[in-house]
Amino acid sequence: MSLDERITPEQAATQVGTASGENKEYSVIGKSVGRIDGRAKVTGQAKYTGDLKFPGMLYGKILTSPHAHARILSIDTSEAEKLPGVKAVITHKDVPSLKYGISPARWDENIFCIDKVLFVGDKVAAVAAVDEETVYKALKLIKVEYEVLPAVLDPLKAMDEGQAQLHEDYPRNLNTEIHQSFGDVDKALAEAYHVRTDYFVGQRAYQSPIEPHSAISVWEDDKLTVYSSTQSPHYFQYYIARQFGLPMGKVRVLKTHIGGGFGGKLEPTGLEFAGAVLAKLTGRPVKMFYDRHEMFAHNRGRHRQYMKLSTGVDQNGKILGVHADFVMDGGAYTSLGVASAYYAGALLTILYDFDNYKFDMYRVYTNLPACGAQRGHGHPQPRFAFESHLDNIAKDLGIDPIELRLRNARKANTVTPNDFKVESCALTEAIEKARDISNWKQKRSHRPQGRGIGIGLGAFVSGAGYPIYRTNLPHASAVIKVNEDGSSATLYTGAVDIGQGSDTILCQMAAEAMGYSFAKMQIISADTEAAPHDFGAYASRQTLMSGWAVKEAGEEIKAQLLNTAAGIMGYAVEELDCRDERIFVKDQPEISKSFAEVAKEFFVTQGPLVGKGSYTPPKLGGKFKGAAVGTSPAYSFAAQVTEVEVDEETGEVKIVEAWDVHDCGKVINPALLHAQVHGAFYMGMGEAVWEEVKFDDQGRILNSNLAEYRLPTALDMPKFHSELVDSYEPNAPWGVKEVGEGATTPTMGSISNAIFDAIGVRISSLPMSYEKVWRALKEKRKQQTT
Amino acid sequence: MSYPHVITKTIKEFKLISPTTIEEALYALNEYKTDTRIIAGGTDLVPLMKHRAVTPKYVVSIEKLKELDYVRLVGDQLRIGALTKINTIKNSDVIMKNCYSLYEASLVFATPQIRNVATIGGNICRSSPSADTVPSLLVFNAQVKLVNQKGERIIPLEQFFTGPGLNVADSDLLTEIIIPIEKGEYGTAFHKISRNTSDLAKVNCAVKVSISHEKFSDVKVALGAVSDRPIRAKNVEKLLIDKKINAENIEKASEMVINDINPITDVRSTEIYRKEISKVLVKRMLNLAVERAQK
Repeated sequence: MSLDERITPEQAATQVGTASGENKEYSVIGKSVGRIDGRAKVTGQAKYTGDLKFPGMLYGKILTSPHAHARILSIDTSEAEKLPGVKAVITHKDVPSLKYGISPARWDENIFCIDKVLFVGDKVAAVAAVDEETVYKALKLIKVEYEVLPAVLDPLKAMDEGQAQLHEDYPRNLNTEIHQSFGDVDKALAEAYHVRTDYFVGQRAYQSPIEPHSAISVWEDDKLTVYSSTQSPHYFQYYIARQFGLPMGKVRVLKTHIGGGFGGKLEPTGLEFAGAVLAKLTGRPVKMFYDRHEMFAHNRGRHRQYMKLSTGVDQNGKILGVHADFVMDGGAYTSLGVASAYYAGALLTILYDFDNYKFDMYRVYTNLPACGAQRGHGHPQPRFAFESHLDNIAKDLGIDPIELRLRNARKANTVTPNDFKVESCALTEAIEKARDISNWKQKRSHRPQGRGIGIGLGAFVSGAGYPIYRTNLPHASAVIKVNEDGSSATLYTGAVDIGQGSDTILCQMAAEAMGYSFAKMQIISADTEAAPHDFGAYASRQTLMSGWAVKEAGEEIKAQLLNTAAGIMGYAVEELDCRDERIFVKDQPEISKSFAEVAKEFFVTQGPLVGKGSYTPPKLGGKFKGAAVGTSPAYSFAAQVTEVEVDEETGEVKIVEAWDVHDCGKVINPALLHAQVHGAFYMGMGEAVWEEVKFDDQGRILNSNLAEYRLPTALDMPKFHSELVDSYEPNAPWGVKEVGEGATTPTMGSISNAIFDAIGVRISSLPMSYEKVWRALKEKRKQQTT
Repeated sequence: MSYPHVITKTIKEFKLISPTTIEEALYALNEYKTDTRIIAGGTDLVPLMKHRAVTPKYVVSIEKLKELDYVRLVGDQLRIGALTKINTIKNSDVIMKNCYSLYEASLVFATPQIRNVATIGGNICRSSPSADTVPSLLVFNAQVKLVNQKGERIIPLEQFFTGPGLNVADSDLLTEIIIPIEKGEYGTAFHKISRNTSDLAKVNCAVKVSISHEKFSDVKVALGAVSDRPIRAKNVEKLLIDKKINAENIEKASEMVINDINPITDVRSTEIYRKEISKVLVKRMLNLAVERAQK
């Protein structure tokens, strides 16, 4: 599909509906139809991978390292093998030694550790047995002899001389080093009216999807099928095939229902690899699964970042230049961390318009669980830092934080210093609306003791401009097949519904493009064999990218149908249209035929009625190293205002109320959109105040369970308002943009600034726990009395 | 719960005994002694067994002893059966009227799902230092009835706990909690500070004050999660009894709580923060209880 086939913003202005999404132009999109999987889920009929059973199925588990860093001297599996019920025990000797990792930039993981274990939880061996009980017993019987080595647990010391080394290929534990410079930051800061430097620290957080990871591997002859709890069957298929030297066509990966991912289920785990080998050896299906502790140990959650920001502004607060100097705790492996590291700096340019920018980053290895992509990928912590930093500057200059943001807010049709092209952008409108609906001015000037109100902005890509590994495959594709009697249509797509509702909105899009109805749509998604290729659910890509492919497929159906109808009805194709299952003459709508009738006629005369579509984004981004990360056909923008109440004696933080205003283009399903925003705020709020993965001095996780890793609950949610601004994205089907990740990016900053407003002290590390607030207040009182 | 680097994800095999009468239950407890655990709601015991923090050979389920599920006002005593669910306590008018701090504790006790299953007897017998129902019971001088095959005894709840997860019950069944209710003017209050909702306490605190002639005629303060067991803050109490009710006295006495407590640093909180918020909590609960007593 070429760009000129898409409608212009001017044309769109007449088509796009109100912020509520209601629009007479459209019959299916813009409506809060119920989820296509809603009934199955609420009745318990929906089966998740962990619910599936196959005849003869074995249960498998992975034995992991009890040490943060140790040499493996020997592994003795003989006792485990003798245990009745055990069908196979495997170690590194039984699996390919080829290194892998989701990011081809650094393949540094093995299916099982060969010489060394690199964190508590690193994978050493696996067992398959007739039941769970036997598996656990067998794991205990595997004798591994270790020579414990000094461990690197502090990322700030990891690069020092004399520290233990994790990977031979990466001296000084330096996994990724980035130095980017745009414009002249030194000059901008030298000439600035005011320069401020602040230092912020993030924490390790974990995605904590409600459904634990699991995978069932089944071999039929030389073909491997893996049922998996995955965000991307495609990347699983690609890496499983690569690891075992199989053609991709001999590996089928599919999912049933998914209980959340948030970035943690994007890359294959040991479960798929070990399961495939155990299934091959035993000739039986093998189900592998993580429990909650193992999920925390496998991790791939949020990186802990150490963030130094220096910004120069003029007298009016206009940003002249920014220098971001970061260190990232990567854990023991790369995972998606190279991209996380680039994202951390890349997206700092998206919200505010400035020309001079410098970004330095060191992602270091530590003997801790590997970090990866978590909702907002690399961006939320730097965004927290920058939004807090900006409020510090606003205070220095005596400018209202919202005014300062309005003076610097990015506008539509601009380009960032790092070459991201921003077409639609209603950021100013979003800020103004957030200001107005939150009653900002009143609350800011009359604040009761302990109350505070703060703003944070956020933004995110609507799909990454480039896939994770180099390939020229389209990013998304779709097929729609209409049943022979026209009574239903099935959408086949590789897009992955992990709970966010993509199956529903893609069916809405398909029905809209076809002129059909949502109620008659069915979907087969996220199955590498039954559905055509799509990269999956990450980088907030599916509404825009999978949406393009679905729209094209739907329009192809409609075109074929109108062609057939033209013959039957005796009108020219151009005179006809199809909506709500009726094909009608545009000038005389009473002359019509049903979709089903014409579809049946098509089948009888021409065979299956099938439409197909695919989408490849245009070439995006600049020419410098790392230019691809952060590119996207479109960017979402958000402004979030949060009001907090701080107990000045105990430091307790209560989030009282929050207002989110999102610029996410045309909305396909308002109810699902607002649900995403609620969930994103909930997640951001958790990371802002409570969530942190903690370790002891041996690198063991102290709180790898839901009792001690404090996710908030519904009871912690404040009164929450999710609002929209009108916007239309020319690079997207029907003008859509993302919402899933962008909505979580402003939250930590807005809460940080609300606490700052309430107590007058900046909490510069995450989470902003009660105790940190209490300590800050104590320090403030001490300074006031001296 | 300890770090599960030892693989202990399944419950060790045990024999379940389901008596239908108290006599049968006592027989089983006597027969199997230390290898036995009693299960009521199971909200604590089952996770402990899954993690193999406890590995009983016998589990005696008292689920069928429906006669232990009651809240009754008998004379000047409030009697609560051990098998009474937290949710029943939350919905009991008798408790709300006579023992308001216990009602307040039931509101913030874990989650609604757990409150529907967990029992007050279980909360006491688990003997967690942070048990949310216990401080309120301590300030009311509650007693517990322990029954075994030889007979029954009633002891002050304060003497029941011997350490974290430990208590004096041997082959005893805790059947009843007895709360003496006074006639005069008194006020009570309970609050806990935790990381977020539905969490275990960093510190919890209950206070009961009786007032006569603008003086404290009686003061009882109890705290949880700040010692190896739920404790009374007797230093605070002593400083207030017979003293005039004013902000200065309350403030001064609240500071004294650090002599009553001995908190630790753990994943939920640090020692210093527990100490500091204990003072704040005691002060606030004293003020609130006074306010309620004066109404």
